[in-house]
Amino acid sequence: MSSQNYRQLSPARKILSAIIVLLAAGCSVVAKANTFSESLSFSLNPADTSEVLHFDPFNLSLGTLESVGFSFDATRRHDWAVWNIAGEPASVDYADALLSGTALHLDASVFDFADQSYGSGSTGTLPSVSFPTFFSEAQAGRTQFINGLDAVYPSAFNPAGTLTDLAGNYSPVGFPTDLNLSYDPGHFSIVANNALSASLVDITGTATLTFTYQPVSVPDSSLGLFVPVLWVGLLVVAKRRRTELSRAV
Amino acid sequence: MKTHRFFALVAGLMLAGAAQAQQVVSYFAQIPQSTTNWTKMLQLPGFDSNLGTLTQVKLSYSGEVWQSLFTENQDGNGSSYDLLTTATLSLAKTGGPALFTPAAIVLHRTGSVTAFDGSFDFGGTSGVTFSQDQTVSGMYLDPSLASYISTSPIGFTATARGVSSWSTSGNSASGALTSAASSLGVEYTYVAIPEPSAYAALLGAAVLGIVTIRRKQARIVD
Repeated sequence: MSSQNYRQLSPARKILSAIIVLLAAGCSVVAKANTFSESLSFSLNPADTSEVLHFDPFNLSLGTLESVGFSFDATRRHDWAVWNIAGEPASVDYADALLSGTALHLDASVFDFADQSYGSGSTGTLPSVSFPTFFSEAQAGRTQFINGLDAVYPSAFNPAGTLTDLAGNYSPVGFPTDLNLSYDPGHFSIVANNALSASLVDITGTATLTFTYQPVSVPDSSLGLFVPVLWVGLLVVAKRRRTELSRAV
Repeated sequence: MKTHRFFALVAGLMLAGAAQAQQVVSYFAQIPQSTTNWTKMLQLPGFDSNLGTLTQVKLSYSGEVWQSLFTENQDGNGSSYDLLTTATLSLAKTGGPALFTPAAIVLHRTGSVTAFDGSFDFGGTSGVTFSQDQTVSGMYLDPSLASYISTSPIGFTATARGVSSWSTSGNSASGALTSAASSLGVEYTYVAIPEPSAYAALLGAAVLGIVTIRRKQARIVD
């Protein structure tokens, strides 16, 4: 419709056209999809190798569920140490130190961490820990790692592997809201001799479940404003027509 | 006259017998069990040329290796393990080539263990310990006899090396220990040079024989 044609329209038609345009605009607002996200933190370690993530189920009153997304933000922490157990002060030479195969398991899906290589090195002269002392020195628990005076931490001690933004890699079938999360610490391998090694892996992070849905179609609030305007407009047009008719008569 | 010849023959045989008797003298040295890796010296007395003529040098080597591998799974789930340790021994004459290089002694174990059983002892269901004690030995006839004729000790260099590797759960403690001992014996076989006393005894016997013969002849003449 050109501007010339628009000017030729009667006032009543102009008002009706404007209302139609406004209604169309209101309808387009209603068609936009919404998302709802919930994040849960988790912590997996040798003592707690798995946990169940309890997400709230999708609230059907919000609308129609279109898709479910899942994403991780996970950090792996690996601590390891070696002790001299030669029975006399000595240096522990190590080679090919490697952590491999660490993975997060979410139900049947597996997310792999990159292998972490520490290569080769030497501890420098260390006093020897002896049986059975080193049993306690290598007890599980990071506190004892840190307090182990005879332990050696390589320069790459405590590196952290990070996994982020794994969204799209997982689509919960049937939209379960309880997800089983567990981890495999992988394997720590090293070449050394007359040495004791200890390795601990844990993973902490946040899991986020995102529902994408189509909201229930409810009239936009702006429409409530246009209904009275429509009535007023119609009344004005009707009044003018009556006035014109009465003048003509 | 016949009697003279007889005694001369007896004396000659005695001398020859004394000169050609094979004698053996042996020595022994050892390195006690100690943690590898090590390179240590062994010293054995050289052959004393005053004893006679060296005809053979026999070296007897013996090595003992003790190996231990252990792991304790500390994870909440079961895990597999692969433990390996290898020990090599060798003995060489100091500054010379190796005389003994026994085959490597290997201890290799793979398997799986359960989740941590609550006891950090390298045993139970979540831990394992493997040990072995093995002995190797060998004998060598060294043809370089001259190098053993010395008033100074003969030096030998013994080495023992251990290399271990393990691949166990990322939540575990594991280790390896190797110790070794070595010993070396030498036997010098030689032809002894008769002692002066032996010569004197032989000479005395000969003189006694001659005197006896002379007396017999004098009786006959009388």
